[in-house]
Amino acid sequence: MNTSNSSSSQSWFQYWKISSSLWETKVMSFRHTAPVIVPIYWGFHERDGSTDFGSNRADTDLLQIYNLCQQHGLSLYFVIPKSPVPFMSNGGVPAAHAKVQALSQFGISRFTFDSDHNICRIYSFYDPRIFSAYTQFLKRLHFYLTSNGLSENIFMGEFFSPVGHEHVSFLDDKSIAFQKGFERYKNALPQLKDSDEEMSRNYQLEISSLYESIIREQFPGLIQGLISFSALGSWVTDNLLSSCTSWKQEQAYMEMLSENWNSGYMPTLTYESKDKDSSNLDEVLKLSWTSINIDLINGKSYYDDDSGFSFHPLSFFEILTSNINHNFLTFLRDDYQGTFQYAKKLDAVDIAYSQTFVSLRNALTEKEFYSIIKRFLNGQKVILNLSGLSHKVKEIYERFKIENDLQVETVNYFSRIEKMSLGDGTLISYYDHELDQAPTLKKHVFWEKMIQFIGTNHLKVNHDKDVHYFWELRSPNSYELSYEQIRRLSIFNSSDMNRTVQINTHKSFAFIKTTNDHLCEISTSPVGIEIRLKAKGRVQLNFGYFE
Amino acid sequence: MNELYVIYRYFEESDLTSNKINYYRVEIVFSNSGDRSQSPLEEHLLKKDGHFVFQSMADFKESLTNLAEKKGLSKISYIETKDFNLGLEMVSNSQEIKGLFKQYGKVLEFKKSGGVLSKFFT
Repeated sequence: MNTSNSSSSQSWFQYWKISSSLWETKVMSFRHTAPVIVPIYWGFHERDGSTDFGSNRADTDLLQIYNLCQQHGLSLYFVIPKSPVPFMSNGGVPAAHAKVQALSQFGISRFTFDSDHNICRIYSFYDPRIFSAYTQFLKRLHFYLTSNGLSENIFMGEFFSPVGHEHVSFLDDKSIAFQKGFERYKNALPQLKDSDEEMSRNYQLEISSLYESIIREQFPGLIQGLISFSALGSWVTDNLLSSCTSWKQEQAYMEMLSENWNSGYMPTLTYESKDKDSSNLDEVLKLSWTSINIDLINGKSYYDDDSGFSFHPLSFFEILTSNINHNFLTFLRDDYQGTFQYAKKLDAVDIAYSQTFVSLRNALTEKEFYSIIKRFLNGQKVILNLSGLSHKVKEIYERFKIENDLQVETVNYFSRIEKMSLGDGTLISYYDHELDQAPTLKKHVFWEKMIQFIGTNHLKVNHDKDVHYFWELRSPNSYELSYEQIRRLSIFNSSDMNRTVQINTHKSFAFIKTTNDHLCEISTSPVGIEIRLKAKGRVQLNFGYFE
Repeated sequence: MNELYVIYRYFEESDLTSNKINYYRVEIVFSNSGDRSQSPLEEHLLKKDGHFVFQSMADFKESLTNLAEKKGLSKISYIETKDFNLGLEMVSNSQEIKGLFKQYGKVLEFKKSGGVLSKFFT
């Protein structure tokens, strides 16, 4: 097994890669800040028609891994895949069932590389034979885990490839197995109103939820949640580029990490970077692979938990949109990079009150609208786009203002803006279509004003090309009580040239200290902080934030 | 950028009157420096329905040759998706991927007109 840095910055325990006699040494190399993640490799346990969990081959003994982690005080999560796994041979499918290769949208077979750069061919999860064989395996796995007292931390895992600002699941497949299933699905539908593309997406979602439900069915009440993993460099074009000697792989991966920071996906590197010095990549992976981040990705909210002394990604905005290129997102990517998340579910139980909820969608059902209003009533700040809402929903909005006797402040600034408050909650409504014709700069100014309006304070980072930065947050400890929050800025230079970063002074922020500095010089002045990073340099800066 | 790699797909479709329509569509383009954007094609070739489409292999080759001249490329390797997938069965390591273009695809090589020094020495 490759034991270089990035495998230790992530806590995957790929038990099939090392002999069980060396497991203890491997377990001892894991950090205590994140649980050891054990992905279940179906194809490793099932060979020649029989399933083995340690009775014949010691290397398949999951109980031994659990005992070793217990011995060394490490927590362990078992991850049951609900999609092909990019770093397992055949995507995790046993050779006997690997019949139909998954096909990408480009018509090329889907493949990835394992940690030793060997090709892993991905097989289609749309093959009904795989579905029924996997169900049988899950039954046996359930029996093994429960009868050995290993049913505590069982999660589901889905694997994705980052593609720009989006993620494509390893369930995304255009193979013959998919086509056959899709034809049956189309024929079974009563009406054909949707486009083929839309129906194909729905079919994929159906199959995805089918795998999810079969896992939940086989492990009743035992599944703790679903973790989405973003496998860097696993997209078709990335695989092709990795064979190019002059491809700046680390720079490309840092770009992917920066674009998808806070996106609700756990970044993972399935094979080692070919760049000699990939320590910056390892450092960013270390920031992501923490218990708190895994919990956040799994849907728990720590943003309002005062006991959270561990750093976790900073997020100001929770955004509901169906357009990832909306001008607000472009604005955020420029000025508030990595400090927003996409809303996964509207009626969230753990509402992060420190985050502003932004609904950019042009269509909301009554139920969705009520969920958003509920957030406002519960004390959250909400920005709501009223364009495109149905007559009925608009009526509910108008009635809501009158029934609650809300004092509405109205401003005309590119759009008609209404602001109202109730307790801690603030609701700002606007009409998105009125911004359509405005030039980019004016849209930028509009959003800048809106953010000022809701009182979000943040430090602006001016940086050269190939510099990537990530914001994190934690509660102040007993020595830092003059601050409301401690914000940490991690800056990395992924290029082979010197780069400069400037941070202007802000009345609500005090610079506390630097940590983890490597190949960097810092100078401070009343105007701000100037950071000169040498090639592959990095630094972390802690700031105290006060109102 | 000196070398370009192109993966294309062959389509055979029928229209409403059962006439067969055959065409070649560019799926992926990347350069040896790791640039994966289709920008070198966009400057010089025409797109149809968001894709670079060619009616015949001769058109496709001619367009690639013109592109090489305009961009000063020394080599363009191209392969059909089916051949790529077939070749992929035979390789086991990431380093062997580029070799598929040579073994299962086609390579167009272009001689650069040399400078004064090269003329002198040849």
